[in-house]
Amino acid sequence: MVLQFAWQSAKGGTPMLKQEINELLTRTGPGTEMGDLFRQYWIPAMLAEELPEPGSPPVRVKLLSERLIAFRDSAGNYGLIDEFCAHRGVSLWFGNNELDSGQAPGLRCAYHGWKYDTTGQCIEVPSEPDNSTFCRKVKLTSYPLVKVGDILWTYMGDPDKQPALPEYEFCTVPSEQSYTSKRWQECNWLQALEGGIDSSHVSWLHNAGLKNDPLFKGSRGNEYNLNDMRPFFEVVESDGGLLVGVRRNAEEGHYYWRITPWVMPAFTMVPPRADHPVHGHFWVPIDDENCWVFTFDYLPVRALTEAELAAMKAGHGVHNEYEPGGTYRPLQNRDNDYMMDRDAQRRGETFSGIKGIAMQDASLQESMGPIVDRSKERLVSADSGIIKARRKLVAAAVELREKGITPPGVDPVHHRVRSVAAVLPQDASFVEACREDLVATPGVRQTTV
Amino acid sequence: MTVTVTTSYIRPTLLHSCAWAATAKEAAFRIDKPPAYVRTSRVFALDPGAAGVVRDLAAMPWHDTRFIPAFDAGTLADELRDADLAMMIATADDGAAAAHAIGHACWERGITTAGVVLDLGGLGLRRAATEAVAALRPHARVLLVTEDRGDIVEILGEVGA
Repeated sequence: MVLQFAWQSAKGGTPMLKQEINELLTRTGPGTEMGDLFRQYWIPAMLAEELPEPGSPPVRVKLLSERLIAFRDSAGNYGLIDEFCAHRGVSLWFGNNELDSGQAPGLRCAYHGWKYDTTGQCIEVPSEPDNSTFCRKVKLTSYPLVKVGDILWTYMGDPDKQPALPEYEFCTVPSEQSYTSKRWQECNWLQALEGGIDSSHVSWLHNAGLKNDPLFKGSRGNEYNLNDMRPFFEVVESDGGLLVGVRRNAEEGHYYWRITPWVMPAFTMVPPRADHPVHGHFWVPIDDENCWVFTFDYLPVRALTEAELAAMKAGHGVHNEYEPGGTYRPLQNRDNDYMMDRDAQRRGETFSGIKGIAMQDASLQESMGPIVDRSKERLVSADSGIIKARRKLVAAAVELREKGITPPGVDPVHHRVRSVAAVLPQDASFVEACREDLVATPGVRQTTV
Repeated sequence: MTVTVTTSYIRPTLLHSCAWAATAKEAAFRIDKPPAYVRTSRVFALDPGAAGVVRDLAAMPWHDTRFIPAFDAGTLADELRDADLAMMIATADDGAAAAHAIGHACWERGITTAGVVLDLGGLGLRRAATEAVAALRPHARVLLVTEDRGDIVEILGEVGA
């Protein structure tokens, strides 16, 4: 089979089999190649609403197959540290985030009272003498936790190589212009991300949403979407990743272009529709069989309206409803068959029988299994964006490991991208015609149809 | 005519069937035999630079793929017989006529087209605005602009060439 040749250059002459490639791409734990790659970037760890105020209860966080505890001490500092106490391995989730102003702020283990600050430094071991300095010799692994926009971001790599903070537009506009939610998706991160790169499924899976969803309907672009089910694709490399342009027929002599940027490793944006908020996702591995999907909606030049915000919180657009209990697990999940409604499917209200754009994607991606076996898939040329993205990820991971090369998407300049929807003359290059529209420019409205 | 449909038979037959079906344990019962899937592919070079790439590709093992380093309008119909996919490769701006001929012939025959513009000069995004891309755009259902010739191998391999 030819596939073993395809990755030869990436591995410096050592052929890789497809199963090896799948393993490389999907495993993100410590010491793995893709895990090392993710540890070059600031990644979303949690929503800021999960630690709303100083002294908030600690929150269990699992990222890149590492179990951590996040807390905000009484002074307001954020911390993300090893979940387990150095003493007996007890979970610090049971700990007491001490609010006593007379003491140093910190999280005290519930078992024997060892206390840690937000850097993971142990600051008190009660069983030791008053004047003991033993606690200074105890430090848990910790990672920075920084609020940018509605998200608390972390960097889990070498502290000496910590890059500048993220500058994605959705988290740098004024807070009234942006809304972010997150949901737990019960499958590997890559098959979820690939859905964000694959624009061709929209006309099928989400066709009803284009007509009915309050955050989608009413766009002229929707008509182009629904009237041309066989789009053309153009995939171009950008400094941070890829630009995937999808064109459909528009008025005589013109094409309707939808341009999706992918910034490595896990950021995608959906092209806008009319004056609706612009949305996108960050796909973050929890472990190899689960991921967080951080979902944002924002507008570059105006505040979200109350109606838009209410629709997002109600699970419309690319957001979703939740199970009660604050787990961020979708209300529609695999334990209730995503509330499959065959009658709605028969009536054409949904294409798959599943309500909501987010869960239409998630239900299908989870049905592929915890980690899809890519050696058995059969792609078509329209999947070139996905094929290219995988190659870029592998190449970046290998070059990082073998040559120490910083991957694309680390530099915040690469974050200043926008998705675009535009009607262009048939002979126009989308890259050339939309060069300025594809860059996030403060105070400039998004380019949309 | 009115058709009455009962819905009971189309409802999920097992409660929580999605949760059960998505487990790693259950994935082990997926049929292990790959589905039959072979494309009959043709790979055309549109210029002399691309011809070298196509010759290199031809030296690799493929299922049912023919490589055409030099476009010949006189043999195009024969080359496309039974083809499912025609890939056109360009490294320069002078392949417009060949792209048009191949693209039109494929459109008439219902053959999927793909185009790859190899950016051998490191132009990056500027390459996407060149004449080679413009020439291929109307005729390639998928158009990839890349510096990496390995992408061609990968796409052909993934689509079953």
